[in-house]
Amino acid sequence: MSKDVIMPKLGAEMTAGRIVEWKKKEGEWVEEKEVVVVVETDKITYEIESPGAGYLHILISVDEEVPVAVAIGILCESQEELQSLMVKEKAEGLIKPKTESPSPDQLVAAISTSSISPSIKHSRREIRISPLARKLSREYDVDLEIIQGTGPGGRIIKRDILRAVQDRKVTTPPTVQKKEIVPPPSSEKMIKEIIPLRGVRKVIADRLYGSLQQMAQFSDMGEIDVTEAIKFRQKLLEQEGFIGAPISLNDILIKIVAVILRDMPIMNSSIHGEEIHIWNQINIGMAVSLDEGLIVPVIHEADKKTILEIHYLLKDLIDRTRNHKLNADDVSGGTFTISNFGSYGTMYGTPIINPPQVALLGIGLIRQVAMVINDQIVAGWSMAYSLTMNHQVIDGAVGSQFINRMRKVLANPSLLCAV
Amino acid sequence: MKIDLSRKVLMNMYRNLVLSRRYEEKLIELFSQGKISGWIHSGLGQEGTGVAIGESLNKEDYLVPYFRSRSSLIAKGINLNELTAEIFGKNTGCCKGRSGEGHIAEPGLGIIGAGGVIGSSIPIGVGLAYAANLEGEKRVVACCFGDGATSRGSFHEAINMAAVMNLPIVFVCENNLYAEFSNITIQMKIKDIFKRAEAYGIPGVAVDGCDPIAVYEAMIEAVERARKGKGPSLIETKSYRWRGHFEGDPCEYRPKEELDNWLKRDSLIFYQNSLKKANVIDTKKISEVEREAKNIIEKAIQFAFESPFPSLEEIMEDVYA
Amino acid sequence: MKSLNFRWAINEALKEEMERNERVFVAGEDVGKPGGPFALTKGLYEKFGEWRVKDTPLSEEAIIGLAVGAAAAGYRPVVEIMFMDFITIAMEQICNQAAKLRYLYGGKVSLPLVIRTLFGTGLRAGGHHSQSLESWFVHIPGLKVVMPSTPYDAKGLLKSAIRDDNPVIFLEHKDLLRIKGNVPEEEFTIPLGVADVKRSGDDLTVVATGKLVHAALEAAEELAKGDIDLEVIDPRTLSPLDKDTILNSVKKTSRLVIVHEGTKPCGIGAEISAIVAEEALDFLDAPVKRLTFPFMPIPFGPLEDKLVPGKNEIIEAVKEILT
Repeated sequence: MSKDVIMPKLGAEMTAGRIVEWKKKEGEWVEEKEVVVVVETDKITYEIESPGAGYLHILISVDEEVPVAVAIGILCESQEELQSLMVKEKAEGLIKPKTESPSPDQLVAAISTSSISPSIKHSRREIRISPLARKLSREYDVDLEIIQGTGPGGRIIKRDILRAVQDRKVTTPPTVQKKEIVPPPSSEKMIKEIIPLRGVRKVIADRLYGSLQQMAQFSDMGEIDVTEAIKFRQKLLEQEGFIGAPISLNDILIKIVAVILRDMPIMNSSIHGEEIHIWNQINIGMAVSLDEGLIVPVIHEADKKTILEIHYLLKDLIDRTRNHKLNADDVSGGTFTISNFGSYGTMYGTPIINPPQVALLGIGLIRQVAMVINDQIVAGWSMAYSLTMNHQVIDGAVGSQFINRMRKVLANPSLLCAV
Repeated sequence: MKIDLSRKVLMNMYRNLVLSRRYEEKLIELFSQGKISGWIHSGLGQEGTGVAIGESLNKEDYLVPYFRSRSSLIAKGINLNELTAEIFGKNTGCCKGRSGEGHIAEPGLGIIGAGGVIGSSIPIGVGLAYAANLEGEKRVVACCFGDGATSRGSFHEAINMAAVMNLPIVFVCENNLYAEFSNITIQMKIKDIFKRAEAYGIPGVAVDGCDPIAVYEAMIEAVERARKGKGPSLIETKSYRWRGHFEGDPCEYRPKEELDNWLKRDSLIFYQNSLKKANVIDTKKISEVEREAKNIIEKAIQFAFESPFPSLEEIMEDVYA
Repeated sequence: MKSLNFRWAINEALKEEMERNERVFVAGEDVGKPGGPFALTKGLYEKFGEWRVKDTPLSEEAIIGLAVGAAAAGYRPVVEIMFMDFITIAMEQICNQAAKLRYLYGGKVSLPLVIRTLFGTGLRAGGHHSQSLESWFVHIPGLKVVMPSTPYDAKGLLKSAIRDDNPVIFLEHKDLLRIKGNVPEEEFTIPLGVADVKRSGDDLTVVATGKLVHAALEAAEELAKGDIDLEVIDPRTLSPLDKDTILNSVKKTSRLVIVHEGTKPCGIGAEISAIVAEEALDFLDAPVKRLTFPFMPIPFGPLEDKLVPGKNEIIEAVKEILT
């Protein structure tokens, strides 16, 4: 008896997934629980373990997108079963040819000559869609890129559009009406490579663009004296044996921010139409940079956790992020985000808020500087920061207040024991 | 059978013959001046037959005209203004300018059936005769065509049907020895088309097409036969067309001597002389008739020139009743 | 209501119209004394006499010419072409004369004639006795083309065709002659140019003509068991076509299958598909599918049955579209 490998549901919001890479070849033997395929949803990539053992027959090729629970491969008990499957499919014409990426010239030619709506222009393959579905997609502003058609030959038909509309109603956040700004056409000679905007990258692109459209963002930049904080951390490192793990400055920063947010709830909120919703949890997201884009795993109720707990949680999250083993809950529910770009040598930035949050703290370069204290020049540690806030909710004074509290606690880390 | 060759009949035919001749000449002149769009199939030289056909019919009788026989239309009583306007394609024409020269009809005078496909009018003539039979008012049909049409299957089907049904119809074939550019020897093995009548069981006769009296006498006999319910006849009139198949046809397929011989047998001149001899007309009368004809023609042409072409809306009407 | 056979529906229509108007007469091969090769004119000769029920020689062209002439003279001929395959002989009279003389003569005549002809498969009589050439005539301006599928439609439409002042090609499917249906006792007519929704449904529109209307209805009944709800439309008049009924149906169901005898190229299915593509494209959720006789002459014998689209082909097509 053969067993199906299906597109799993990896999070409450997931409706479809894209095949990133088959870890096993067509016809290859796969053991149970062996990683057989890597898939991607709009937020995360995930390695899928085989539900059984067998000879792999691939149904869905790389880059193809299928809805959750659809079979993407079949595990055949025997070679004969595999062969007969392939013969049957060939007879029925069901074997999907591997979609070949068109050459850049072909794409440029296609883009410059086509004059239909941009969503279809950007597609790497031709979208098969019924006229009725096309009309509905315009009416409901459904992005055809993310729809997998269930009609004959993968054609997008009415029910696929309606399903997408229904699913969209269930998920948040609301996507902003994106005004398509069409850049002037570049000549063929200027383009070196065309990389289609898909998957995580596309989600990030849409989210951040939307973020700037929705909010009046401004950034407060400056430096904080972290000499005492660095000394504090050093002490904790020396006590690693007792503590159980090497505490990092990030762990400390998360705790500090979480504690301050307890007293400044306006910074831990979101804006909905005419209302500001203050959240009852403080969930700090820590931005992690991967090749495919910025992922923000979340430490829930960071204010209620010890620095050690924060450390373990953060380490685990970063590990799993890098290994594509995050689940949906790891990346959802964030109320405030910290982005540490200082390790790249960057002093300041204008980080973009992660909607629907209202602020994002960028941590810049931490370095030794010469400071003037009591008219004396002394060596100390300075941390650059860039705090971006939504001016619709937070004024500059409030931002300054936040930073001042950070300054205070970083200058006196022992305050953390009291609050 | 006593033939009514009253002065009235003779004069009618004469007036119509003069009118037809001068009209044909005028049309040729206008065409060569580029004043007529479309084409003209001249009946010059054959007018004698048509005037006799028209004269032998009553007003209520039907005429399915031979496309080259404008003289039969004139003799049947067509309005020359409307005929000319139709030839010019104007909306005051008898067919509202839609037909042009080739499909002239005037249902009010019983002139029905002409069309652009040679020979297709013959079964239509049979239909008219069938209706006449149903009606019982003793109407007859003169169904006219050229020698070329007798090679069509429609000719044979129609004449056979009319014969077996004993319909009140006279088939008149104007044999001018040429069908388009082909001599009759290419069209058929026989030399006398009237002999085909025997194959269908009806009487057939040949007459000199250039002699209106001869044609008239043959017509009257056939018409009476039909009217009395004795069935169809076939009359072949022997004649010749002086011009090409259409205006602009150089007639290279005809020997010149042939035309010259026939030109000597001008139906108008012969008829005119016969009437003069019988003291039916004199020089004064001739001038009067010529003048009259000239007037009528000039008025008709004036009328046609001044009439408008049909509008785009008008030309799209009447596809369905 | 009474139960009436298609054949008798035609016969009654002829009889009633000939009684109603003495200008109506019938002519054709074997229509008179013999009562018609399919008994469609049975009894008329005895009732109306030789001249109103005329036996003609084997001359299709002259038969139609006779109709044209008689119509031009004010009569209402109803002529019969025994098998539609022979109508080709009369194309000249139908398409050049009957269709056009009213127009060419400036509207001064009308030609109120009806050409009745037996068409379609069912006799297994081969390539010269089974064709469906309706689309040839739909293409000609000046003609009307009517194709009933039930005794009710046949009687009502034939009466209207005879009363219509235009030349009408009235197509009688030879395989429908024996079917029975309900027909009103009282006088009734059905207007030309109006389609009939033979079955209402929401999932898919089937437009069918002639005997295939019944195949479509059978398919609908079977599919209904599996919760598929077909709408079956019988155009009844092919020219002028009631396109509004078809378009409204497609807008409702968003799927269309057309089934007709005759071949695909330039068939009535091609015309309907084009109309839907022109005027209702945004309502289509699937491509239009046509089921027709294959593009080949009709072979003699029982193999004909395998080639004519039927209930099973319709069901298969519907299921394919709806998966």
